[in-house]
Amino acid sequence: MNESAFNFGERGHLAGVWCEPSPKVLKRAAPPVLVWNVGIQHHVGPYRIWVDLARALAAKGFRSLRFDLGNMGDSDVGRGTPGDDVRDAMTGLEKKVGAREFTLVGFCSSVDQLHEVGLKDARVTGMAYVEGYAYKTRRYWQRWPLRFLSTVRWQNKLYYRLKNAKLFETKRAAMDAAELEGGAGLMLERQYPPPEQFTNDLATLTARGVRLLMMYAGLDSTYQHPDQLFDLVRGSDFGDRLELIYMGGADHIFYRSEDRAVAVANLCRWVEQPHLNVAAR
Amino acid sequence: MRTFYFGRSRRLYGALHEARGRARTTGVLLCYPGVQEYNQTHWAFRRLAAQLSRDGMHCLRFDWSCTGDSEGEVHDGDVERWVEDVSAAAEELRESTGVRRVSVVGMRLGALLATRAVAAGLAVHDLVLWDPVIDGQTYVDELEDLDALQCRRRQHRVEHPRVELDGYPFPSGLRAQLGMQSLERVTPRGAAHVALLLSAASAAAVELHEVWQRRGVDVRSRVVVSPPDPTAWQDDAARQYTEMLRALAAELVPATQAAVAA
Repeated sequence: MNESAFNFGERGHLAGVWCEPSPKVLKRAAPPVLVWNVGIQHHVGPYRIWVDLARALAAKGFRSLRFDLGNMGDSDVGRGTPGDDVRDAMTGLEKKVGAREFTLVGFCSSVDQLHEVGLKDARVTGMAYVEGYAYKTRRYWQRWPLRFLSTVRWQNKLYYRLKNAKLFETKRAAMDAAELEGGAGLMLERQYPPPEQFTNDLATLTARGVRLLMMYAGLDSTYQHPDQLFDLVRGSDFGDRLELIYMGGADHIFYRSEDRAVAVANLCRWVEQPHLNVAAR
Repeated sequence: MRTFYFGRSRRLYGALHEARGRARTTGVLLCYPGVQEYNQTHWAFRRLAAQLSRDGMHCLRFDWSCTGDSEGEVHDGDVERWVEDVSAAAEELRESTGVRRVSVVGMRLGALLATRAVAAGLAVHDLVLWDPVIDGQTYVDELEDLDALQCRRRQHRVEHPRVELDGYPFPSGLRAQLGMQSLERVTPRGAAHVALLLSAASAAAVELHEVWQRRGVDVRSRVVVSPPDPTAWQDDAARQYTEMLRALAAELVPATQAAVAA
């Protein structure tokens, strides 16, 4: 495996780390995997999850790029939108390694760019939504009363009421300050598609042949029931192109390293799956 | 900003902010805190580096080995190796920019590691220590408190014995190494000037100041009231450090202006 700094974008203002497997195991025909900022966190991801993913993928022969959107992490100020930056990453890799297809992985707020770009750009053939859009469907409300039995929840509520009542205000005020130069603030502005639109979008994507992975955590997440998504998409037929993974014991950012390891293993298996089938045939 | 890998024995990831306008003769090396506090402060370090480059200084920030984008895995983290990383990064800054001398800013564990490198012979102009870890065991205790807070927040049980801390593997060897660290036991004789910049006054910092002064170190201390809430360490509230970043830049700029004049 070899990791190298990679600059791309119109003015080379975007920065990332290109992770290339050793030639012995390299699957040259497989689409490179792209990951980027999660909230304001730079391209290593929360608790270094994108580094773990890149190295695990490389061990299995898959290439990846972890990068920063414009004016975040190690990237300079750009002119385009965050979605433009993701498209620039694909274009940069087309030039660098001749890739024509790409797998994108979004996590929490970065599913906004994932969804926007994946819908419009035919180069995207695989999309993983990690703790992405979760809608409060029937099964969510069925489980909702259980939260009142959780002592941890009450402890947390009390703790934050006493301790952090003003913290969020302070953070928002700081984020709005001109000195932040704009870019990072964009990540706080979410673009949650309405549920009907999201269902239609998934149908559009799978009809185009895009493989989808929805991976949810259960602890402090809006996703509370393993089948919550199916309430939303009932009646839709995605064939075998949509896979759902529910990690009920994990939290929203995979704080524990064992949960991160499972999340990374799930992503690797999903990336590898179509190539295993090819090998078997 | 230019990103790259460097280092002879280990590949370290660095981001160089080149000086804008006429470059000063002193470059600045930024040392992140330990891995548990690294992600939350990355944005603050970028802001500081950008400010210093606008002030005409080449500025390099780098990831410790086994952290960030650098080679190695977190469970292989090693204090002695990190101290060596400081010298390797300072050498890289000199070689890649041609600066005559180097100043270092270190935060928390990064401050301790930078001080140890300077005490071991690394020659620097300014050594600026931002809320330094003064006592290793106190630092480990603080991380355990933060971990308990995060576990509660994330609805996890706190495991005993703790095999990980604040989201990262924390092997017993590293715990023991960190627990033995003490800034009072080292003397940063390789620094022309030492500055302690603190978010809050502490008896340990006052004592450290006095100890170093008695040993002939040119040290000054200053309390900068930022961040306002100590829980900012656990939140992604690195952006709150505006006052501290201004204070850090102010520590470095006058000295380099003098260097340019000379």
